Amino acid sequence: MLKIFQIFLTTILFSIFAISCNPVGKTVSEEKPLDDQLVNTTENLDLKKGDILVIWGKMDASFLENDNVPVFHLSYNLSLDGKTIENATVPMFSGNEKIINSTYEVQKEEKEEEEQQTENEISDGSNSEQIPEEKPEKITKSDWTFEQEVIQIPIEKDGKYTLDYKANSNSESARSIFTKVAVILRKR
Amino acid sequence: MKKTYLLFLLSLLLLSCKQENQSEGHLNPEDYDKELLGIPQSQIDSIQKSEGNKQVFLRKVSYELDSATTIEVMLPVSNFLKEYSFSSKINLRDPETVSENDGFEYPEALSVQNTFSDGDSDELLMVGKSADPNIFPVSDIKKFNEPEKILLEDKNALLYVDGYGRKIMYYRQYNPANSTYYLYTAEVPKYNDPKLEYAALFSIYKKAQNLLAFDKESQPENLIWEKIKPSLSEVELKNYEIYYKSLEKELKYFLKDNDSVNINRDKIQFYLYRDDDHSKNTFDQVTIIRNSEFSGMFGDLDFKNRLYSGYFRQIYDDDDEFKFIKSISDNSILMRATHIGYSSDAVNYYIISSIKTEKGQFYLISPTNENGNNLTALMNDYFSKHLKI
Repeated sequence: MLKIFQIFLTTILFSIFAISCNPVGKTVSEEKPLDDQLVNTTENLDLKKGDILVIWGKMDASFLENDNVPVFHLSYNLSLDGKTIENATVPMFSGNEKIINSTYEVQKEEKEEEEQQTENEISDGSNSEQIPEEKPEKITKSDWTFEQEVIQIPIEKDGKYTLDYKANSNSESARSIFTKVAVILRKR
Repeated sequence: MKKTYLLFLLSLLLLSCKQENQSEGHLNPEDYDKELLGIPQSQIDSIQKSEGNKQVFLRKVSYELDSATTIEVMLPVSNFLKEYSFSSKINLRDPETVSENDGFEYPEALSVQNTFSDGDSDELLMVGKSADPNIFPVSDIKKFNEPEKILLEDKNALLYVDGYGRKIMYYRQYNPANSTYYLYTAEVPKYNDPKLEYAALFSIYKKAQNLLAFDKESQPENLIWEKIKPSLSEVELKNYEIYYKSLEKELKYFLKDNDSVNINRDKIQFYLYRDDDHSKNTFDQVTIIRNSEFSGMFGDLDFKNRLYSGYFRQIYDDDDEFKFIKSISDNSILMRATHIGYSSDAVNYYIISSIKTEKGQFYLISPTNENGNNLTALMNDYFSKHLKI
């Protein structure tokens, strides 16, 4: 019994060791918090023909209401030697697909007496009309952290690329100080 | 048994991750100095020289301490004074013998800031009256604080690195004409780059040296970006570049149709937008406003524009006053906006620059002073011509 435990432990510790000391991965640019007023830039992305550059968005939200993750629009410009290779605007955190490293926890319910008049916002915030006389819906609050794939960009030429990007959202909750957005670049 | 095994594995893990560093048990004095300073002394010397050789552009700054006392000092154009209610981080007296009620009065402290100052306490100017021209001598400061490595010391100045690697300056001046002493203290913020930290330190030192150089006030005609730029410290320049690089990329890659971007930081603001209608009709509102010497209300602008609806509507009503003051260059104009209030009117000045590129017609707006010559205005105007600073 002890023996099995030891083997088990060794495996775990060994894998921790392998991950922490020798990160093998496809991350080409570590998690970088998004500046919502400035253009964010990652330079010197060493990419080869056949690589696929994958932009990942990381959401770190606390006190999220009813799991409504604010949708962002990510505008990016990939350039090589000053020449634009690709320029587009794509939605970020809009669906449920391709989510990794997700941790989720429902916040402990506080006093329910406190009836907050909260507008029942749909993710893009365009719905401003009040819903009349409906029983106040129970709002669950959660903490949710996850990474989600935003876009894949196939690379057709070797080189050191520059990726400029910015992101914004119309959603109220996107401006919350409890909503932190970051971008991670990986390649396949 | 299980525990020993675990411990063994853990220590193995820790050791294997640490690699080479473990041989450094203790450092010999030379290595210690090197470690503390971060870069070789010769590099520090050359940074000191290069900061020292920079020309300074000074402006007289007055600050009313109380109804009876106004102080006047000379500061670089990008700097200003701000109220500060605590005392210095540097010990002016022996911390061992200080008791609370011994009647010692600390001098008034003011915070010296620029656009990128993070906290209020990084640079402080303390002003007080005394008959003793040698008050708070450098020798005392050296005793009451803990300089680990002194970079520069003379009768009035002490620049040092403390045990935590912090770069600190003390600079004292005395003006016998009004029996006033001026103490300038600074602790350089961390920049993750020792070179930048030393550049900041020696730039502040130069600032302190010129504090009472009332004969060196810059002439207005010298206040153009090409002249000011070489006088700025590396740190300031790098910080400004972040904003303009971003604006340049917005313009080149991101702003389409009627898009806009609003950069609104504590002490610096930019609003850059593209006007689709003006782009298609090669129309330039800066020229129109200048030629008509516009004076009226925001609502009176009688050409199709996004000037009011885009930026100014966040701040002003359409019956607030908007007036052309002067032309700054072919690209830029100085405007005055007055918000009519109940008790008093709020007056603000703005520089509006026109940027014509093959990507369209853009406009850049920033708040400025009544002469349209603060640093942001100088940079905006230059940027509108060259798309870089």
